[in-house]
Amino acid sequence: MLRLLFISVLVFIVSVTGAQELYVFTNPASNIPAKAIAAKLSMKTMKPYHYVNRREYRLMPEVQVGISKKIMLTAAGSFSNMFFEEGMRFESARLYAKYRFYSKDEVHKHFRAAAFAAGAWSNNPLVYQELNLDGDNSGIQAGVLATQLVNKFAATAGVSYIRQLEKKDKLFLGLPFSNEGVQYNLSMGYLLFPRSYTSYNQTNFNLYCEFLGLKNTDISRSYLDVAPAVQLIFKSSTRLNLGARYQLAGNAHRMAKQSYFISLEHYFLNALK
Amino acid sequence: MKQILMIVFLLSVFFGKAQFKSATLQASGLTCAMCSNAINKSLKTLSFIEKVDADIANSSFLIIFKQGADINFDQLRKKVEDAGFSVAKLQVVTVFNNTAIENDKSVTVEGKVFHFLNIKNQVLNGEQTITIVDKNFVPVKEYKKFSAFTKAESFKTGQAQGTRIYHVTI
Repeated sequence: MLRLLFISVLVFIVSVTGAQELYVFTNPASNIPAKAIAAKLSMKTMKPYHYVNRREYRLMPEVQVGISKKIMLTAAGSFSNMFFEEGMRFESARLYAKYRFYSKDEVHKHFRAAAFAAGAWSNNPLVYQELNLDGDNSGIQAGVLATQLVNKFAATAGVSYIRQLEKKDKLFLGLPFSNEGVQYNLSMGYLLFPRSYTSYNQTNFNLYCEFLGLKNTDISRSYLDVAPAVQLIFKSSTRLNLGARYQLAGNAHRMAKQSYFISLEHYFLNALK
Repeated sequence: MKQILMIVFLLSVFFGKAQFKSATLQASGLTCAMCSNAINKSLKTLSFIEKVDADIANSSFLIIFKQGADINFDQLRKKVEDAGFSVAKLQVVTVFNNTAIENDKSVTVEGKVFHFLNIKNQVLNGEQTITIVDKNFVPVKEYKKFSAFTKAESFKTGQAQGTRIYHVTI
């Protein structure tokens, strides 16, 4: 009940006032600056449905590079004790590239569109119908993103095709096997503090609400999550993100219907000469 | 007497040289300090810039040029674009000394060719603020508005016979 209240308050705030586009769970159409490098460490935690009371963790180190004003690359890896493992171990690696192909900028306002492609290798067996390249699956993904930002509010819509590369159900779980799906998201953000900027040292506080969905296209399974998050930006270069995902609807077999997320990232501007 | 006149003349040439002092650059497409910081740091890498003061709330930057340095306005624009944003306005504070300007005509100032648009013919003296109205230095709408004031091919290409022409107004 308390959780529902929290979510509705957050949704209300976001819908009424309108944030920013540095989403916690997804990407905006904007890129990181050219010649900048961002280092990020994320952790996802959940209680998987197949244990009575066990918490599992995934650690995801990531490096983002601004190749040019239009192209950015991301390389990431993951370590976890998920997929029936006793302890933490290396499980996956991922490459991601984003190309911003449209930009209409005005003062305190922009509309941008980008295309992205990603590929991942994962050590894990195929167990779930939820498909993702965050560590669960070996696969490929490609899609488009559009972001509209007006003053302190930003909204992004994204849609992509995702395909996992396992050929068969090695664990013989007897569940319908899925190879592909459409991932989509609607993400909104609002800049709450500071009300007005006077210095780069002011801490920035952003609220986010994202809707994250997947529709398996080869079997009739799907899910839709709501993901509220808060973000603090220190000295205009270090970000701390805290978020949660709750399943709103769906019938897909997943590791867990709720998960929590924390990440810390730092921007090194003009890191590349 | 002749010698004195000569000295006065030389001094006036020396002190009367036009000079780019500073510029106010407004960037568009950003609202957060993180974005502003990216532009700020990107601008500071340019060798002809002495100092950058950011006005985060208005996403604008006061840029002080190094004295006597070769100023490149295209590089200013490129730094903003590299950071992921666009230039909405670039106003350059220039010290003029008896520079006669004519509407829709070019004049060389400090080694840069300026083509003045939408102005009255006049002689400029002292500190004046000029605004660059070239493509990608102003919003598209503004650029189109200024294209009505000239038929010069250089307004489309930014060049004439291989020389960079900056189209400006007062």
